[in-house]
Amino acid sequence: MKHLNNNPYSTHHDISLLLPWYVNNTLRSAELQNVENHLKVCLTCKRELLALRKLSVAVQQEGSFDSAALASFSHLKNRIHATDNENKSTAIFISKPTHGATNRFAVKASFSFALAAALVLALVIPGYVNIKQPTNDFRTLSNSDIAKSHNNEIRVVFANDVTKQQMETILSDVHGKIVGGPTEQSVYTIQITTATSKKEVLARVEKLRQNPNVIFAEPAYALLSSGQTDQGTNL
Amino acid sequence: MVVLKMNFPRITVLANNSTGQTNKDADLILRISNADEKALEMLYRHYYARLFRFIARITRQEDIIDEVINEVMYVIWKKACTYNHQCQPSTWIFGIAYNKARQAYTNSSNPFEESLDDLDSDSSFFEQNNCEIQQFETDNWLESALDTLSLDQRAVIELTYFQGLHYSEIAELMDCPENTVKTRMHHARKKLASVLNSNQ
Repeated sequence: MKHLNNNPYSTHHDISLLLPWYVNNTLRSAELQNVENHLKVCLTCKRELLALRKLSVAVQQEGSFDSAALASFSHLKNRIHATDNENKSTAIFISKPTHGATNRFAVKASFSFALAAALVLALVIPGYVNIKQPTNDFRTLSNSDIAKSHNNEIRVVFANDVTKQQMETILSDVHGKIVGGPTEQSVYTIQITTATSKKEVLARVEKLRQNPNVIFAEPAYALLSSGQTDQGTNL
Repeated sequence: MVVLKMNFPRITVLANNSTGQTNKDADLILRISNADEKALEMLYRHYYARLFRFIARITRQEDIIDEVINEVMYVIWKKACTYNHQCQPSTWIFGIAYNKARQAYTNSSNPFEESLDDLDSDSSFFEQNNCEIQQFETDNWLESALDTLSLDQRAVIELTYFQGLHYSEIAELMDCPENTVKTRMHHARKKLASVLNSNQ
Protein backbone atom coordinates (compact mmCIF):
# COMPACT_ATOMS: atom_id res chain seq x y z
CA MET A 1 0.00 0.00 0.00
CA LYS A 2 1.26 3.46 -0.80
CA HIS A 3 1.98 5.83 2.05
CA LEU A 4 -0.98 7.95 2.94
CA ASN A 5 -0.21 11.64 2.67
CA ASN A 6 -1.48 14.54 4.76
CA ASN A 7 -4.15 15.69 2.33
CA PRO A 8 -7.40 14.86 4.19
CA TYR A 9 -9.37 14.15 1.02
CA SER A 10 -6.66 11.96 -0.41
CA THR A 11 -6.37 10.06 2.86
CA HIS A 12 -10.12 9.58 3.03
CA HIS A 13 -10.23 8.35 -0.55
CA ASP A 14 -7.34 5.90 -0.07
CA ILE A 15 -8.81 4.54 3.15
CA SER A 16 -12.23 4.27 1.59
CA LEU A 17 -10.79 2.06 -1.16
CA LEU A 18 -9.45 -0.32 1.48
CA LEU A 19 -12.69 -0.77 3.40
CA PRO A 20 -13.86 -3.92 1.55
CA TRP A 21 -10.70 -5.70 2.65
CA TYR A 22 -11.12 -4.35 6.17
CA VAL A 23 -14.48 -6.09 6.14
CA ASN A 24 -13.05 -9.41 4.93
CA ASN A 25 -10.22 -9.21 7.51
CA THR A 26 -7.36 -9.50 5.06
CA LEU A 27 -5.64 -6.14 5.56
CA ARG A 28 -2.03 -6.24 6.70
CA SER A 29 -1.02 -4.57 9.94
CA ALA A 30 0.03 -1.17 8.57
CA GLU A 31 -3.06 -0.86 6.39
CA LEU A 32 -5.26 -2.09 9.20
CA GLN A 33 -3.87 0.51 11.57
CA ASN A 34 -4.44 3.31 9.06
CA VAL A 35 -8.02 2.24 8.43
CA GLU A 36 -8.85 1.90 12.13
CA ASN A 37 -7.39 5.33 12.89
CA HIS A 38 -9.39 6.90 10.09
CA LEU A 39 -12.61 5.18 11.11
CA LYS A 40 -12.38 6.82 14.51
CA VAL A 41 -12.81 10.24 12.95
CA CYS A 42 -14.65 9.74 9.66
CA LEU A 43 -18.41 9.39 9.78
CA THR A 44 -18.71 8.80 6.05
CA CYS A 45 -16.38 5.81 6.19
CA LYS A 46 -18.21 4.45 9.24
CA ARG A 47 -21.45 4.52 7.28
CA GLU A 48 -19.77 2.99 4.30
CA LEU A 49 -18.42 0.25 6.52
CA LEU A 50 -21.91 -0.69 7.69
CA ALA A 51 -23.12 -0.89 4.11
CA LEU A 52 -20.16 -3.04 3.13
CA ARG A 53 -20.81 -5.44 5.99
CA LYS A 54 -24.39 -5.83 4.76
CA LEU A 55 -23.11 -6.47 1.29
CA SER A 56 -20.63 -9.02 2.59
CA VAL A 57 -23.37 -10.94 4.39
CA ALA A 58 -25.57 -10.84 1.30
CA VAL A 59 -22.80 -12.14 -0.94
CA GLN A 60 -22.13 -15.02 1.41
CA GLN A 61 -25.76 -16.08 1.48
CA GLU A 62 -26.34 -19.26 -0.42
CA GLY A 63 -29.39 -20.63 -2.09
CA SER A 64 -30.38 -24.24 -2.34
CA PHE A 65 -28.51 -26.31 -4.85
CA ASP A 66 -29.56 -29.01 -7.16
CA SER A 67 -26.42 -31.07 -7.36
CA ALA A 68 -27.29 -32.87 -10.58
CA ALA A 69 -24.20 -31.48 -12.27
CA LEU A 70 -21.73 -33.22 -10.00
CA ALA A 71 -21.43 -36.09 -12.41
CA SER A 72 -19.71 -34.03 -15.06
CA PHE A 73 -16.28 -35.31 -14.15
CA SER A 74 -16.90 -38.23 -16.48
CA HIS A 75 -17.12 -35.78 -19.39
CA LEU A 76 -13.73 -34.40 -18.50
CA LYS A 77 -12.30 -37.90 -18.23
CA ASN A 78 -13.64 -38.78 -21.66
CA ARG A 79 -12.07 -35.67 -23.07
CA ILE A 80 -8.68 -36.47 -21.55
CA HIS A 81 -8.77 -40.00 -22.93
CA ALA A 82 -9.96 -38.80 -26.31
CA THR A 83 -6.97 -36.45 -26.47
CA ASP A 84 -4.63 -39.27 -25.46
CA ASN A 85 -5.92 -41.47 -28.27
CA GLU A 86 -5.58 -38.62 -30.74
CA ASN A 87 -1.98 -38.15 -29.66
CA LYS A 88 -1.27 -41.83 -30.14
CA SER A 89 -2.72 -41.96 -33.63
CA THR A 90 -0.83 -38.91 -34.82
CA ALA A 91 2.09 -39.70 -32.69
CA ILE A 92 5.61 -38.16 -32.64
CA PHE A 93 7.89 -36.49 -30.31
CA ILE A 94 5.62 -34.33 -28.25
CA SER A 95 5.43 -35.48 -24.69
CA LYS A 96 1.98 -36.71 -23.68
CA PRO A 97 -0.21 -33.84 -22.39
CA THR A 98 2.40 -31.52 -21.00
CA HIS A 99 3.35 -33.49 -18.00
CA GLY A 100 6.92 -32.72 -17.20
CA ALA A 101 7.57 -35.84 -15.20
CA THR A 102 6.19 -38.27 -17.76
CA ASN A 103 7.84 -37.44 -21.02
CA ARG A 104 6.36 -39.87 -23.47
CA PHE A 105 7.21 -39.48 -27.08
CA ALA A 106 4.71 -39.46 -29.81
CA VAL A 107 5.18 -38.82 -33.49
CA LYS A 108 3.79 -36.34 -35.96
CA ALA A 109 5.48 -36.34 -39.33
CA SER A 110 4.97 -32.65 -40.08
CA PHE A 111 6.92 -31.65 -37.00
CA SER A 112 9.81 -33.99 -37.52
CA PHE A 113 12.32 -31.29 -38.37
CA ALA A 114 11.53 -29.10 -35.37
CA LEU A 115 11.42 -32.09 -33.14
CA ALA A 116 14.71 -33.43 -34.32
CA ALA A 117 16.21 -30.02 -33.53
CA ALA A 118 14.67 -30.18 -30.08
CA LEU A 119 16.22 -33.58 -29.53
CA VAL A 120 19.64 -32.30 -30.48
CA LEU A 121 19.22 -29.58 -27.86
CA ALA A 122 18.00 -32.10 -25.32
CA LEU A 123 21.04 -34.24 -25.93
CA VAL A 124 23.67 -31.54 -26.12
CA ILE A 125 22.59 -29.01 -23.49
CA PRO A 126 22.30 -31.37 -20.48
CA GLY A 127 25.68 -32.78 -21.37
CA TYR A 128 27.07 -29.31 -21.57
CA VAL A 129 25.75 -28.48 -18.13
CA ASN A 130 26.95 -31.70 -16.53
CA ILE A 131 30.24 -31.65 -18.32
CA LYS A 132 33.06 -33.34 -16.46
CA GLN A 133 36.32 -31.52 -16.13
CA PRO A 134 38.46 -32.85 -18.95
CA THR A 135 42.02 -33.83 -18.43
CA ASN A 136 43.02 -31.20 -20.95
CA ASP A 137 41.15 -27.98 -20.89
CA PHE A 138 41.34 -27.60 -24.64
CA ARG A 139 41.15 -29.78 -27.70
CA THR A 140 42.76 -29.04 -31.03
CA LEU A 141 41.16 -29.94 -34.30
CA SER A 142 43.80 -32.61 -34.78
CA ASN A 143 42.89 -34.27 -31.50
CA SER A 144 40.28 -36.75 -32.65
CA ASP A 145 40.48 -39.28 -29.83
CA ILE A 146 36.91 -38.71 -28.78
CA ALA A 147 35.56 -38.70 -32.26
CA LYS A 148 37.34 -41.93 -33.09
CA SER A 149 35.84 -43.79 -30.20
CA HIS A 150 32.36 -42.83 -31.44
CA ASN A 151 33.02 -43.07 -35.15
CA ASN A 152 30.84 -46.10 -35.64
CA GLU A 153 28.13 -45.20 -33.16
CA ILE A 154 24.79 -43.67 -33.98
CA ARG A 155 22.19 -42.20 -31.66
CA VAL A 156 18.70 -43.29 -32.65
CA VAL A 157 15.17 -42.65 -31.48
CA PHE A 158 12.58 -45.12 -32.70
CA ALA A 159 8.93 -44.30 -33.26
CA ASN A 160 6.71 -44.66 -30.23
CA ASP A 161 4.76 -47.65 -31.54
CA VAL A 162 7.66 -49.62 -33.02
CA THR A 163 7.73 -53.29 -32.03
CA LYS A 164 10.78 -55.20 -30.89
CA GLN A 165 10.76 -57.21 -34.08
CA GLN A 166 10.64 -54.09 -36.25
CA MET A 167 13.51 -52.68 -34.23
CA GLU A 168 15.60 -55.79 -34.85
CA THR A 169 14.87 -55.62 -38.58
CA ILE A 170 15.95 -51.99 -38.66
CA LEU A 171 19.16 -52.85 -36.85
CA SER A 172 20.02 -55.78 -39.06
CA ASP A 173 19.44 -53.62 -42.17
CA VAL A 174 22.28 -51.35 -41.09
CA HIS A 175 24.38 -54.09 -39.44
CA GLY A 176 24.00 -52.42 -36.11
CA LYS A 177 23.64 -53.57 -32.52
CA ILE A 178 22.40 -51.69 -29.50
CA VAL A 179 25.23 -50.79 -27.15
CA GLY A 180 23.44 -48.23 -25.00
CA GLY A 181 20.09 -46.85 -24.03
CA PRO A 182 17.29 -46.23 -24.02
CA THR A 183 17.85 -43.04 -22.08
CA GLU A 184 15.09 -41.04 -20.44
CA GLN A 185 14.62 -39.41 -23.81
CA SER A 186 14.27 -42.88 -25.45
CA VAL A 187 17.63 -42.51 -27.21
CA TYR A 188 19.50 -45.69 -28.17
CA THR A 189 23.18 -45.90 -29.02
CA ILE A 190 23.80 -48.21 -31.93
CA GLN A 191 27.18 -49.50 -32.98
CA ILE A 192 27.67 -50.30 -36.63
CA THR A 193 29.73 -53.44 -36.56
CA THR A 194 30.78 -53.47 -40.20
CA ALA A 195 31.50 -49.78 -40.73
CA THR A 196 34.78 -48.18 -39.87
CA SER A 197 34.85 -44.92 -41.80
CA LYS A 198 32.71 -41.86 -41.21
CA LYS A 199 31.44 -42.09 -44.75
CA GLU A 200 30.11 -45.58 -44.19
CA VAL A 201 28.50 -44.56 -40.91
CA LEU A 202 26.84 -41.57 -42.56
CA ALA A 203 25.41 -43.88 -45.21
CA ARG A 204 23.85 -45.98 -42.45
CA VAL A 205 22.53 -42.86 -40.77
CA GLU A 206 20.90 -41.86 -44.03
CA LYS A 207 19.34 -45.30 -44.34
CA LEU A 208 18.00 -45.09 -40.81
CA ARG A 209 16.52 -41.65 -41.44
CA GLN A 210 14.61 -42.98 -44.42
CA ASN A 211 12.92 -45.59 -42.27
CA PRO A 212 9.50 -44.34 -41.10
CA ASN A 213 9.97 -46.11 -37.79
CA VAL A 214 13.00 -44.01 -36.98
CA ILE A 215 12.36 -40.51 -35.66
CA PHE A 216 15.91 -39.45 -35.20
CA ALA A 217 19.33 -40.67 -36.25
CA GLU A 218 22.61 -38.85 -35.88
CA PRO A 219 26.26 -39.96 -35.66
CA ALA A 220 27.32 -40.02 -32.02
CA TYR A 221 30.40 -37.92 -32.69
CA ALA A 222 28.25 -35.15 -34.12
CA LEU A 223 26.48 -34.81 -30.78
CA LEU A 224 29.61 -34.48 -28.71
CA SER A 225 31.35 -31.25 -27.93
CA SER A 226 34.89 -30.81 -26.77
CA GLY A 227 35.77 -32.84 -23.69
CA GLN A 228 32.44 -34.64 -23.43
CA THR A 229 32.15 -38.25 -22.47
CA ASP A 230 29.19 -40.57 -22.58
CA GLN A 231 28.47 -39.83 -18.97
CA GLY A 232 28.73 -36.15 -19.66
CA THR A 233 26.02 -36.28 -22.24
CA ASN A 234 23.69 -38.18 -20.00
CA LEU A 235 23.13 -40.71 -22.72
CA MET B 1 -32.06 -7.04 -19.20
CA VAL B 2 -32.39 -10.61 -17.99
CA VAL B 3 -31.95 -11.48 -14.38
CA LEU B 4 -30.99 -15.06 -13.77
CA LYS B 5 -32.32 -16.77 -10.72
CA MET B 6 -29.23 -18.66 -9.77
CA ASN B 7 -29.08 -21.41 -7.24
CA PHE B 8 -25.60 -21.65 -5.90
CA PRO B 9 -23.94 -24.72 -4.48
CA ARG B 10 -24.30 -25.14 -0.78
CA ILE B 11 -20.72 -24.83 0.30
CA THR B 12 -20.01 -26.06 3.76
CA VAL B 13 -16.45 -24.83 3.77
CA LEU B 14 -15.87 -21.32 2.54
CA ALA B 15 -12.57 -20.22 1.14
CA ASN B 16 -10.26 -22.62 2.87
CA ASN B 17 -6.82 -21.12 2.98
CA SER B 18 -5.46 -23.19 5.83
CA THR B 19 -1.93 -24.42 5.38
CA GLY B 20 -3.07 -28.03 5.58
CA GLN B 21 -5.52 -27.62 2.75
CA THR B 22 -3.03 -25.63 0.71
CA ASN B 23 -0.51 -28.45 1.05
CA LYS B 24 -3.13 -31.03 0.12
CA ASP B 25 -4.04 -29.06 -3.00
CA ALA B 26 -0.38 -28.60 -3.91
CA ASP B 27 0.16 -32.35 -3.53
CA LEU B 28 -2.80 -33.07 -5.76
CA ILE B 29 -1.44 -30.71 -8.40
CA LEU B 30 1.93 -32.44 -8.20
CA ARG B 31 0.26 -35.81 -8.66
CA ILE B 32 -1.73 -34.46 -11.59
CA SER B 33 1.52 -33.32 -13.19
CA ASN B 34 2.42 -37.02 -13.12
CA ALA B 35 -0.79 -37.84 -15.00
CA ASP B 36 -2.60 -39.16 -11.92
CA GLU B 37 -6.28 -39.18 -12.85
CA LYS B 38 -7.36 -40.05 -9.34
CA ALA B 39 -5.75 -36.86 -8.07
CA LEU B 40 -7.54 -34.88 -10.77
CA GLU B 41 -10.84 -36.36 -9.69
CA MET B 42 -10.15 -35.45 -6.05
CA LEU B 43 -9.25 -31.89 -6.99
CA TYR B 44 -12.31 -31.72 -9.22
CA ARG B 45 -14.64 -32.78 -6.42
CA HIS B 46 -12.95 -30.48 -3.94
CA TYR B 47 -13.23 -27.40 -6.15
CA TYR B 48 -16.41 -28.13 -8.07
CA ALA B 49 -18.81 -26.29 -5.77
CA ARG B 50 -16.56 -23.28 -5.33
CA LEU B 51 -15.87 -23.01 -9.04
CA PHE B 52 -19.54 -23.47 -9.84
CA ARG B 53 -20.47 -20.62 -7.58
CA PHE B 54 -17.67 -18.37 -8.78
CA ILE B 55 -18.39 -18.91 -12.47
CA ALA B 56 -22.13 -18.57 -11.92
CA ARG B 57 -21.65 -15.35 -10.03
CA ILE B 58 -19.44 -13.67 -12.57
CA THR B 59 -20.94 -14.92 -15.84
CA ARG B 60 -24.63 -15.01 -14.80
CA GLN B 61 -25.09 -17.76 -17.37
CA GLU B 62 -26.05 -21.07 -15.89
CA ASP B 63 -25.78 -23.00 -19.15
CA ILE B 64 -22.05 -22.47 -19.57
CA ILE B 65 -20.91 -23.26 -16.02
CA ASP B 66 -20.23 -26.97 -16.35
CA GLU B 67 -18.46 -26.43 -19.62
CA VAL B 68 -16.23 -23.76 -18.09
CA ILE B 69 -15.45 -25.93 -15.05
CA ASN B 70 -14.38 -28.74 -17.34
CA GLU B 71 -12.26 -26.31 -19.34
CA VAL B 72 -10.60 -25.17 -16.12
CA MET B 73 -9.89 -28.71 -14.99
CA TYR B 74 -8.62 -29.65 -18.43
CA VAL B 75 -6.14 -26.77 -18.28
CA ILE B 76 -5.07 -27.93 -14.82
CA TRP B 77 -4.56 -31.44 -16.22
CA LYS B 78 -2.44 -30.13 -19.07
CA LYS B 79 -0.53 -27.44 -17.20
CA ALA B 80 -0.12 -28.87 -13.71
CA CYS B 81 3.63 -29.07 -14.20
CA THR B 82 3.76 -25.29 -14.68
CA TYR B 83 2.34 -24.51 -11.24
CA ASN B 84 5.29 -22.85 -9.53
CA HIS B 85 4.08 -22.50 -5.92
CA GLN B 86 4.45 -18.71 -6.10
CA CYS B 87 0.81 -18.36 -5.13
CA GLN B 88 -1.78 -20.48 -3.32
CA PRO B 89 -3.10 -23.41 -5.38
CA SER B 90 -6.59 -21.92 -5.02
CA THR B 91 -5.40 -18.59 -6.42
CA TRP B 92 -3.84 -20.39 -9.39
CA ILE B 93 -7.01 -22.40 -10.00
CA PHE B 94 -9.33 -19.42 -9.65
CA GLY B 95 -7.07 -17.44 -11.96
CA ILE B 96 -7.60 -20.07 -14.63
CA ALA B 97 -11.32 -20.10 -13.86
CA TYR B 98 -11.52 -16.33 -14.19
CA ASN B 99 -9.84 -16.39 -17.60
CA LYS B 100 -11.95 -19.27 -18.89
CA ALA B 101 -15.17 -17.74 -17.59
CA ARG B 102 -14.29 -14.40 -19.13
CA GLN B 103 -13.54 -16.10 -22.44
CA ALA B 104 -16.80 -18.06 -22.43
CA TYR B 105 -18.74 -15.01 -21.37
CA THR B 106 -17.27 -12.85 -24.13
CA ASN B 107 -18.11 -15.53 -26.69
CA SER B 108 -21.71 -15.78 -25.62
CA SER B 109 -22.72 -12.45 -24.21
CA ASN B 110 -23.61 -8.88 -25.05
CA PRO B 111 -20.58 -6.93 -26.15
CA PHE B 112 -21.28 -3.67 -24.38
CA GLU B 113 -20.98 -4.89 -20.86
CA GLU B 114 -17.20 -4.82 -20.74
CA SER B 115 -17.28 -1.03 -20.95
CA LEU B 116 -19.22 -0.84 -17.69
CA ASP B 117 -16.01 -0.95 -15.74
CA ASP B 118 -15.39 2.67 -16.60
CA LEU B 119 -18.83 3.90 -15.67
CA ASP B 120 -19.58 5.43 -12.32
CA SER B 121 -22.76 4.88 -10.36
CA ASP B 122 -24.05 8.31 -11.27
CA SER B 123 -23.79 7.63 -14.99
CA SER B 124 -26.87 7.79 -17.12
CA PHE B 125 -26.50 4.12 -17.88
CA PHE B 126 -26.98 3.08 -14.31
CA GLU B 127 -29.84 5.46 -13.68
CA GLN B 128 -31.63 4.13 -16.70
CA ASN B 129 -31.15 0.52 -15.65
CA ASN B 130 -31.90 1.22 -12.04
CA CYS B 131 -35.50 1.92 -13.08
CA GLU B 132 -35.66 -1.46 -14.75
CA ILE B 133 -34.19 -3.15 -11.72
CA GLN B 134 -36.99 -1.83 -9.56
CA GLN B 135 -39.48 -3.65 -11.73
CA PHE B 136 -37.95 -7.05 -11.05
CA GLU B 137 -38.95 -9.49 -8.46
CA THR B 138 -36.46 -8.56 -5.81
CA ASP B 139 -36.67 -11.45 -3.42
CA ASN B 140 -32.96 -11.60 -3.94
CA TRP B 141 -31.90 -8.00 -4.52
CA LEU B 142 -28.26 -8.92 -4.83
CA GLU B 143 -28.88 -11.18 -7.81
CA SER B 144 -30.62 -8.31 -9.56
CA ALA B 145 -27.99 -5.83 -8.54
CA LEU B 146 -25.11 -7.96 -9.71
CA ASP B 147 -26.50 -7.80 -13.22
CA THR B 148 -25.73 -4.11 -13.29
CA LEU B 149 -22.04 -4.82 -12.83
CA SER B 150 -19.45 -5.92 -15.32
CA LEU B 151 -17.94 -9.39 -15.16
CA ASP B 152 -14.73 -7.98 -13.71
CA GLN B 153 -16.57 -6.07 -11.01
CA ARG B 154 -18.58 -9.15 -10.07
CA ALA B 155 -15.38 -11.16 -9.92
CA VAL B 156 -13.81 -8.66 -7.51
CA ILE B 157 -16.91 -8.71 -5.28
CA GLU B 158 -17.02 -12.49 -5.22
CA LEU B 159 -13.31 -12.95 -4.64
CA THR B 160 -13.33 -10.40 -1.83
CA TYR B 161 -16.46 -11.29 0.08
CA PHE B 162 -16.88 -14.95 -0.63
CA GLN B 163 -13.38 -16.23 -1.30
CA GLY B 164 -11.92 -13.86 1.26
CA LEU B 165 -8.91 -12.75 -0.76
CA HIS B 166 -6.74 -9.68 -0.22
CA TYR B 167 -6.72 -7.19 -3.10
CA SER B 168 -3.12 -8.11 -3.96
CA GLU B 169 -4.15 -11.75 -4.42
CA ILE B 170 -7.08 -10.69 -6.58
CA ALA B 171 -4.75 -8.53 -8.68
CA GLU B 172 -2.48 -11.51 -9.18
CA LEU B 173 -5.38 -13.78 -10.02
CA MET B 174 -6.91 -11.30 -12.48
CA ASP B 175 -3.52 -10.31 -13.82
CA CYS B 176 -4.07 -6.59 -13.32
CA PRO B 177 -2.64 -3.80 -11.10
CA GLU B 178 -3.80 -3.61 -7.48
CA ASN B 179 -5.27 -0.16 -8.08
CA THR B 180 -7.47 -1.57 -10.82
CA VAL B 181 -8.89 -4.05 -8.33
CA LYS B 182 -9.62 -1.25 -5.87
CA THR B 183 -11.22 0.88 -8.56
CA ARG B 184 -13.39 -1.97 -9.80
CA MET B 185 -14.55 -2.58 -6.26
CA HIS B 186 -15.19 1.13 -5.73
CA HIS B 187 -17.45 1.41 -8.78
CA ALA B 188 -19.19 -1.84 -7.95
CA ARG B 189 -19.86 -0.72 -4.38
CA LYS B 190 -21.46 2.48 -5.56
CA LYS B 191 -23.75 0.71 -7.94
CA LEU B 192 -24.72 -1.95 -5.42
CA ALA B 193 -25.32 0.68 -2.74
CA SER B 194 -27.82 2.41 -4.98
CA VAL B 195 -29.71 -0.82 -5.57
CA LEU B 196 -29.55 -1.74 -1.90
CA ASN B 197 -30.93 1.67 -0.87
CA SER B 198 -33.71 1.48 -3.40
CA ASN B 199 -34.79 -1.87 -1.95
CA GLN B 200 -34.91 -0.80 1.63
